[in-house]
Amino acid sequence: MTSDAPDYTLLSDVNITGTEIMVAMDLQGATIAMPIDVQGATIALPVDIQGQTINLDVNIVASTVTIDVNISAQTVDVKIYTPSGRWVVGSELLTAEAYSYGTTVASGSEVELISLTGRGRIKQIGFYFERVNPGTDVYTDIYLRVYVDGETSPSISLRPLDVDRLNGYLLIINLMYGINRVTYASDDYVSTAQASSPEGALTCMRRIFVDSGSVFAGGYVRLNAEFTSSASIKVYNKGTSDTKAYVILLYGEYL
Amino acid sequence: MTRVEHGLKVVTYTDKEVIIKQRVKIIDDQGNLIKAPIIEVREKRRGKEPLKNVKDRAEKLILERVKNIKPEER
Repeated sequence: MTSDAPDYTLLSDVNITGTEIMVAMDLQGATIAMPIDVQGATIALPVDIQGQTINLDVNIVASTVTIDVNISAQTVDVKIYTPSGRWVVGSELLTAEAYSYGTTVASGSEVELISLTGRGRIKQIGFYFERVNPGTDVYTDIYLRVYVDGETSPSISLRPLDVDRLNGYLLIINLMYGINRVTYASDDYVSTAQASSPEGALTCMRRIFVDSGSVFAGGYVRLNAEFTSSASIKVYNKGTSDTKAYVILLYGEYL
Repeated sequence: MTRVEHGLKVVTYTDKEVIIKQRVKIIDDQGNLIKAPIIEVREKRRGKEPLKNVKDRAEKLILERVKNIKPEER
């Protein structure tokens, strides 16, 4: 181990090399101050910690603790990486909405209704699907899909049936057993949910039992899905007749 | 003196029109965020023309609007 003593009038280097090194600093006193004042045109303070096992414990015990971090710069990017590989950013989150109204989704096609470019969060999606003619059962044939960050396969692909499943099959049970159900026409029933999960539910549906097809279905899902570069809301129609899609998106944006 | 940065851009497609909402951030020379308005444009679809064409026109419009943000929006 080698070291040179600091020279108070000159730039001082401390170089420590060795196979096993322990640097212990034990400061005790009624009042301790350790100011680090670094000023210069270009400043680099890299802290590089690598090892098989790393424990970085910071314990602050006091009756009053104040931690001030003041950063002034044109652009500030503070990143805390989480196990998912995503980073946590502490900044303002704004909420806004986008609404696609009555868009035709032809049978067998997938249609993009809303695309987002940038970084944000898909908070909640409200949807209502209505088929144009028999041939599509909107309960089982229509998929609400969410693609995040350029995915080629959607992260989320939910039919109204799946959203109903999130809520314990409430709507289909209502319709089948005549709970909260009205007869709209012969063998044609409409039901609305009287209770729903805050995370998502199917809240209304009209179903014709003759052809076992649902004419319309509406509901919502609260996804809280983060995206770093892009997101896309699409609807896929697996049925054999066109369907109209009504989708409203609440999204959050970091500033 | 302020500068403008682009935030999240949202494109909405319907049978009849394409809507683009662009968040812009008005930032002063100290790096402080002054305002963050959303600039919105709507472009109508002509007949059955491809939605991509409508979106391209809307993209041009939004670029113009962002370039010429009104003083009251700053």
